[in-house]
Amino acid sequence: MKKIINLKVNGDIYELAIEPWRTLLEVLRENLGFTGTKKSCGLGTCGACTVIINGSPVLACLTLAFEVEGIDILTIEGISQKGSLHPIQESFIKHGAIQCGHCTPGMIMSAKGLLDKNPHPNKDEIKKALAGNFCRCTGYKKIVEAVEAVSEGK
Amino acid sequence: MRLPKFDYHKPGNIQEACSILKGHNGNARVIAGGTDLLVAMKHRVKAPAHIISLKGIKGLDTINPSSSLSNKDSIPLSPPLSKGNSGEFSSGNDTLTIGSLVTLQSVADADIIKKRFPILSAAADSVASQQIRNMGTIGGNICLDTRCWYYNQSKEWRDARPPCFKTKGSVCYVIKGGNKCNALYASDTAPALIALNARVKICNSENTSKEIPIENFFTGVGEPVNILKQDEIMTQITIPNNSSGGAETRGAFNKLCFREGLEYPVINVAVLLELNKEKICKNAKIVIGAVTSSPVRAKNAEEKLKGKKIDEALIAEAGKTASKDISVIPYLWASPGYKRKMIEVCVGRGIRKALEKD
Amino acid sequence: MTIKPDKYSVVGKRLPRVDAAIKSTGEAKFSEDIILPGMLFAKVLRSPHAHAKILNIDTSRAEKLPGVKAILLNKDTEEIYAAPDETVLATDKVRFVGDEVAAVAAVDEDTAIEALGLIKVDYEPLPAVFDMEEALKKESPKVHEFYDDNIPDNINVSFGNVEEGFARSEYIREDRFVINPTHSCFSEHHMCVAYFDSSGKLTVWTPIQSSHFIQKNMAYNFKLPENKVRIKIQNVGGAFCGRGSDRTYHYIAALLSKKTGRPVKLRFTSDEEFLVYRGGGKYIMDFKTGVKKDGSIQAVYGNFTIDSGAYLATQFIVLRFLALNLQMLYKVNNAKCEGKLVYTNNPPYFFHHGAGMVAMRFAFGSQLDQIAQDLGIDPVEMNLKNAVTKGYTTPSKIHYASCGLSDCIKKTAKQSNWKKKYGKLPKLRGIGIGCGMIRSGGKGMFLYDTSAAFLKIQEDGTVHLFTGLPDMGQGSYTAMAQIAAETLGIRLEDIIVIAGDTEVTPLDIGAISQRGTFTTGNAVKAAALDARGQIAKLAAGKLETKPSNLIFRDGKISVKNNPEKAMNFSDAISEALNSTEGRYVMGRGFYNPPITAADPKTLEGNSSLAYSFGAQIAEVEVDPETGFVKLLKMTAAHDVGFAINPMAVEGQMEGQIFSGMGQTLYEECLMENGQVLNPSLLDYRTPRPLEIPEIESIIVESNDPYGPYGAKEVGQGPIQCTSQAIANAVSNAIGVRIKEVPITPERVLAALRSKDRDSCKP
Repeated sequence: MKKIINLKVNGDIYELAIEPWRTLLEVLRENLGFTGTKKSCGLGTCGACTVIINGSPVLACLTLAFEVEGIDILTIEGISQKGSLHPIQESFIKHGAIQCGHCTPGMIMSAKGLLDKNPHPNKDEIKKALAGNFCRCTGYKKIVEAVEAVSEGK
Repeated sequence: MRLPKFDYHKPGNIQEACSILKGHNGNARVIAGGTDLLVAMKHRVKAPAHIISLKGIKGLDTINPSSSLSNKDSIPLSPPLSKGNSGEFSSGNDTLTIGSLVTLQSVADADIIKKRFPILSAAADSVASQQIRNMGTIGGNICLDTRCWYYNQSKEWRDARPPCFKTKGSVCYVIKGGNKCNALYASDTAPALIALNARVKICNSENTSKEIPIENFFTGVGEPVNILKQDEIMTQITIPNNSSGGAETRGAFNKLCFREGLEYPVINVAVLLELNKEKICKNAKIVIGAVTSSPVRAKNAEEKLKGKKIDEALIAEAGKTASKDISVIPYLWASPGYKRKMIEVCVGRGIRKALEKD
Repeated sequence: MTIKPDKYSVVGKRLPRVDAAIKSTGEAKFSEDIILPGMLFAKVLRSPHAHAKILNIDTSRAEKLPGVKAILLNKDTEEIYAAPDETVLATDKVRFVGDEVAAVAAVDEDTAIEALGLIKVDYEPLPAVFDMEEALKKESPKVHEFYDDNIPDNINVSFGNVEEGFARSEYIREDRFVINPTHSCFSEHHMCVAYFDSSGKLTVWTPIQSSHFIQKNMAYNFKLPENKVRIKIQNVGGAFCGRGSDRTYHYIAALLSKKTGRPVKLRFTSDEEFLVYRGGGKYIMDFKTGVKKDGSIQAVYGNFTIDSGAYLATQFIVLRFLALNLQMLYKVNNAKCEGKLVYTNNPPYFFHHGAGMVAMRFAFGSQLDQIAQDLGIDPVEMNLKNAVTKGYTTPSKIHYASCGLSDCIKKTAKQSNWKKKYGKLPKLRGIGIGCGMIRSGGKGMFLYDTSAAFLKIQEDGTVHLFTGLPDMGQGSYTAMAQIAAETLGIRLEDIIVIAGDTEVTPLDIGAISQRGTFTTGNAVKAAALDARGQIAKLAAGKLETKPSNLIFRDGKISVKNNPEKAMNFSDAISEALNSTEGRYVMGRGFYNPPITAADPKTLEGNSSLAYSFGAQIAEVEVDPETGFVKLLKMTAAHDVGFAINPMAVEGQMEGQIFSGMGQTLYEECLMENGQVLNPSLLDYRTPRPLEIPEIESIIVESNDPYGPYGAKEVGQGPIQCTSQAIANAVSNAIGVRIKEVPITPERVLAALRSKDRDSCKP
């Protein structure tokens, strides 16, 4: 049942033997040890497992690993290069947008997806882009402010 | 949550995909974006032994403005629209074809759709969340399964009750004593596409295809939800140029959700009006989604508007008519009474929004 | 916000969290991220019946499935009770849909799931009861045989004399309020990894608010010495009062590990979260309040009927909290509380945010607001008139050493433009006030309410701080580090916090009952003072002054009024180590509020030293066609004593306002025959970013004499105000009182219809 596939995660190619029913989230966390991508609802409702595929934020829990063979997959581990944080990460830290931190990686990936496509979104566009990400701690206010600050270069 | 086990197929063309479907006799499913199917599979609502990916088939993920398709069997091969390409229609008779694998976000963002079919763009943009729009496809959204809060539950949850019609049993928990499945069809794009007179192309394992009005795609019952046969796949959507001579087309997509973002609609309404220079309504389409097992046209309400200049009294009458004509199915937070009332409200708001430019 | 003079250099500052960077990258480990060699995966078989006898369990087929390592049934659970009325797995009877019947450990999740399907259980269904009023009838099915009614707990407590109070009243109102079940919705699901190693030591990795409780209970239940139970709390993905204690799943994983000798991971799916969550159940609250015509409260009577679901767990504290709180916010001399918890075949409840007090505050606050309307009194004035004040002692002998309630009310009123808006807003817009309070830790669970801390200082002057206080997102690591840094006069980044690992960190009752900042904060300060005393002794010799004459600040130790005479903190530490004495500086401290717990019968006594207070003013807009209520703005003031980190305080306030808005307008577990109809984040509608109201946070600092640097809680305080403020604003907008939350669109439309009917009456 297992088949060998090549996954391209954060620019590196991994050869894996996996079953077709494995989701990208399971493979990232269990086979490759990328536990920065968090697992929560598993049903596409919380966004904790958001990764960027081909430039667009998607849900790793509803993506079959087989379906993304050879495609560029970017996880939270891939956005902070050479030990320096991504500006969105810096902004989340500075603006108090992180509390328990469980939703944070997914939230940052969604924000990145938005800002890559639309570098200067307005507040409503930010809110809309983050609507697929569930946060129970912050009330989202400081998260939206953090993303806004990045877009304004603050 | 884990998926059940299955074999994975990635055929290179549609006919092959249809043949695999046929070969597995109901025990195979096509996967597009996966956002609906995989959730159902994790819940063990569906557990096909075979999953057929369409990602290996070329041409299904493009949006093409082209001349009217005379040869029904051909798949348009014109180059895909890149972002920012405004892709104007070359003449009034042209049509737009959208491959079934085009993501909802691409539909929402395509300039030509924003410009020519804003109600479709708005509908696609209103679906769920950024991530789901990036994954979910227009084809998947049209082929969306009906939903029911007794059905879209984990196996353990469902085990507490005898199976319902949707799970091959003989009860309906939504409408007590009902003799059919009353699950809700909650696609956002389908009402807009019906209002736009779109047609869908269906291919089968015999290597033939047909094109039917999307309005006829649905069965009207919760299970099965659409007319696709076991070996058929819906491959593209064609939208005709709706404007007729001298009339101005006005549209609105109005969706009511208890929260904005990540929610199926309580109700959605697509309105398309054709107004002549004197602002007389020449033609009207009112399509309502998420109130029954398929999108429904409020034909009597449409008739009320036709040939008249639309004013507040007429809007109210159209809303009331639509509400009276539709036998609604409740959903969780919305009782039948509430839904009926919301039809009235949202039809009214849709018409007003369509007229807003004045 | 007040601008503080530079009295302090670390506390009182808007500093980023110490753990923010690793949380932003996903490096921060949650229990789910624990992967151990040889780890097995567990799954739980649950009852499909709300109430049934178990006739037989056949595991023979599951046992034969390759990869299955152990199957656990009640008989294998060493007679452990996870709570007084709850065994680890069902004995001969199941009591709710989802009750735990058996568990499997297998080499992977897929195998464990498959094995569950192979276990055959024969049930004999029994009549079930889901409605509290039904459950209270004599002929109703009994959920637990141990009780001859379905009432596992009740209360009847009076303070003062309510009869006299009502007799003196000039206006009396009686109302029934209802709140419906809600769910905590943690981002990180309930889970644990348990491992009995070959030395017989049990290690448990789990998100929980208190490592102390669970360590004690698991040691007791497994008959292990306490030092052989190691609880390792990782980062915790939200708690909101819902992760207080050990639960059945901790024992299931531990027993499976014991059976197999391998680490076992048990994590619940999002569907299961709605079975194991134990959020708030349904509350029916009958309130009667008597006032003088000027609005001064003379007597309050509250009668609470609370759905406990199938098990009681630790809900017994709820009724006591409710009773006390009737006389804690307002100067109420006469209060009486009656109440009962009712067993039903619904999933067991616990509480969601502040031990039932959000419900009670919604009811009491709504009634008071209505009384103000009835009497033509401005609700802000009504609240001010009755507000407790600094130095006040309640009838139950609770004493307020600090209290900024009136300040909170006045500041929110001013900031929200209350006077210009109340009664003057356009149609369908409304404004409403809600007030609340909560204690900062306290006694009751144990005779002690102790937190301990210690710190060690490296030769370069950097510090490891050890506490037992977990961080569930509230920012306790940062607050504790700020307190230690300020006390030692060093920078925040010079401190690393190690917390919540019972093998490494000292005792702490945990992050419960809003005690962290106050109690652990005091312990940390004591530990830092202990270390500072040792350093001061040495530095005083060098700087030729008395130890008491030294100032520790910004990495320097200087002589008071003579800043030229100074030395670096790190030099002092290094010199201590390199002295003949070879002193390694370690500080230790603990804190236990010097009070006794309230009397368990009369509830009299001051069981906490510090109490926090707040007020919120909500502005809403109602759509009369759809019934939608939009919270436009919340102006909130909270008396936190002193804000150790104002940014974190704001974060807590914003989060709670948002969550409180969810409970009031959006969220409800819809129940049918004991099943949650909407067990997912899709259908259980927590608000999302597009619902963010405008929030203005005002931090009030009453400077508590007992708090570290004057600080009190900001745990579950702010949310006490939110529901009532929103409900009162809705009433103000539509002119009808909605007495049931959530205030759903349908409830709003029904209220508007009832108003139309009333206005048609002759």
